[in-house]
Amino acid sequence: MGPEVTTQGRITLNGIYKRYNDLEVLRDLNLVINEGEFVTLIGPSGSGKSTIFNILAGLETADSGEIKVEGFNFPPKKLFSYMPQRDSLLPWRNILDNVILGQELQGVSKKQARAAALAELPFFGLEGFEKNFPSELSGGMRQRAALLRTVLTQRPVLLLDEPFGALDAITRAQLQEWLGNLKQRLNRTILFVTHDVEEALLLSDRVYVLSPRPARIVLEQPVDLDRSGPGELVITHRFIELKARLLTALKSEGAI
Amino acid sequence: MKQILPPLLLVLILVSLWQLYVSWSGIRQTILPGPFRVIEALVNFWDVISENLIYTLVEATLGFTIALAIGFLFAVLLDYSPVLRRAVYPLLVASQTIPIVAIAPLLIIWFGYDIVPKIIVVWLVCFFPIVVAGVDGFASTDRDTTRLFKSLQASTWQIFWKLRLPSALPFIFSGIRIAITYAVAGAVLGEYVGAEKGLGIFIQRSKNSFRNDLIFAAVLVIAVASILLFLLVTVIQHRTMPWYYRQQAGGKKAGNNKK
Repeated sequence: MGPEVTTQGRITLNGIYKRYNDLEVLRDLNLVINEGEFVTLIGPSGSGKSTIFNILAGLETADSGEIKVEGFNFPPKKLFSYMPQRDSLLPWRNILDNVILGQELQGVSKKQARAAALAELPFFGLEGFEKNFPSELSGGMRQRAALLRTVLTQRPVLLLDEPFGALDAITRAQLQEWLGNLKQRLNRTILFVTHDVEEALLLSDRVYVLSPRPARIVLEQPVDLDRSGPGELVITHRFIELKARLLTALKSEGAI
Repeated sequence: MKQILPPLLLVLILVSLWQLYVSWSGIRQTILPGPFRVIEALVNFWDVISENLIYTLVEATLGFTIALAIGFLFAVLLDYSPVLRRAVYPLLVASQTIPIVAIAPLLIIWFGYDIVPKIIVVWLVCFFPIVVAGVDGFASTDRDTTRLFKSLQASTWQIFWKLRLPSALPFIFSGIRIAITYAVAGAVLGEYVGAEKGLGIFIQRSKNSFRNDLIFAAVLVIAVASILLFLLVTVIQHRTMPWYYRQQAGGKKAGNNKK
């Protein structure tokens, strides 16, 4: 996809602690994200998922603990590409100039960045909309544009913070399927945050269930689903079994 | 045209009422001239009025431009430094309680009868709305988007030019539109207390020679000039921020215009 992105090795978060004054947000958090993996963090609101993202994106620092990235020295400035919950598209820029923001800020010429972006628009269902302003697009299209901006930033790890959280159920289902198909082509390591158990199972290779604040890992669940099989995945025996297991883990912590 | 029609109709009605009152009440036109009398005076004295108008417009534009430049600079500084903002902002608000009419004669004593005190008066009335609009505008910048910029290692300079300034533009233009309507009236006020040329002193002289029709004519010219300047700013605003107006109009939703 576009210019080749340098890859990183395994990312390990070891015993991360974080508190805001009296509020303990992360307590001894341990995570592993393998190269090329789609890992989802699922947990109740306010459980510190966004804090983990902010620490990885370099917006905040952990109080203690260590983050190791094989082949990178942390804080790795060019490792993570962060997509906020709301699309954060700039209303004064058309879609094309919005999606090149990451490259532009890193000093890539606009012309070059635009050319690369135009080639990607069809895969994000945005072909023909490059000259439109964000306000002229539907919610689903805006999220896809925000994702394209994140992808075009050309960093190996994508941090997606509830990208479909604000969408209606139908658009949401469409985008889940679309991202599922796009995943292979993106060929990136993806760390994903959601509240939605089904969304996590549809997309992830592995799911971590977080406890309410202060967040720690309650369950680590590999997702071994045959997504290429016929019929609806969500009604297969294995899917329902995994869903039950995740829901039980969430309930055991009083999360739902 | 739909937007222009209602106010135009209202103006027509009010002017008709004015003419009707003057015609039926028998009031002397030297006391209250009718609209026709005003137009007549405007046409007859157009040479003098236009000459004075140009002078006033020069003062207004110069004062406004300086207010815009310094006001913008101030807004950037106050945005950049919270300490400075806390120190200066209350003083700015307090400064607005000072009646300019009281200061204008002092400015004449200090700076003489030429153009400088008028420019200062215009600057004084235009400065405040521009600074306040700028500060509020910069502060309106979306926090999540700022974080996004930071996660992309954007420099302070990049965050200003590519995020904070465009975010503030709608606010800044609101401030400019308020300021520009004050600008001509400010210049006239500056001239009123002492000047050699300009509509302010023209009004003063017309009053002294009991030419109320000329006062009305000058007031009409000031109003029209202010409205035209306001429209000019609005046109510039439309050109600068096309996205803003498409957004306000609700925008064509995607799908209706797919190529």
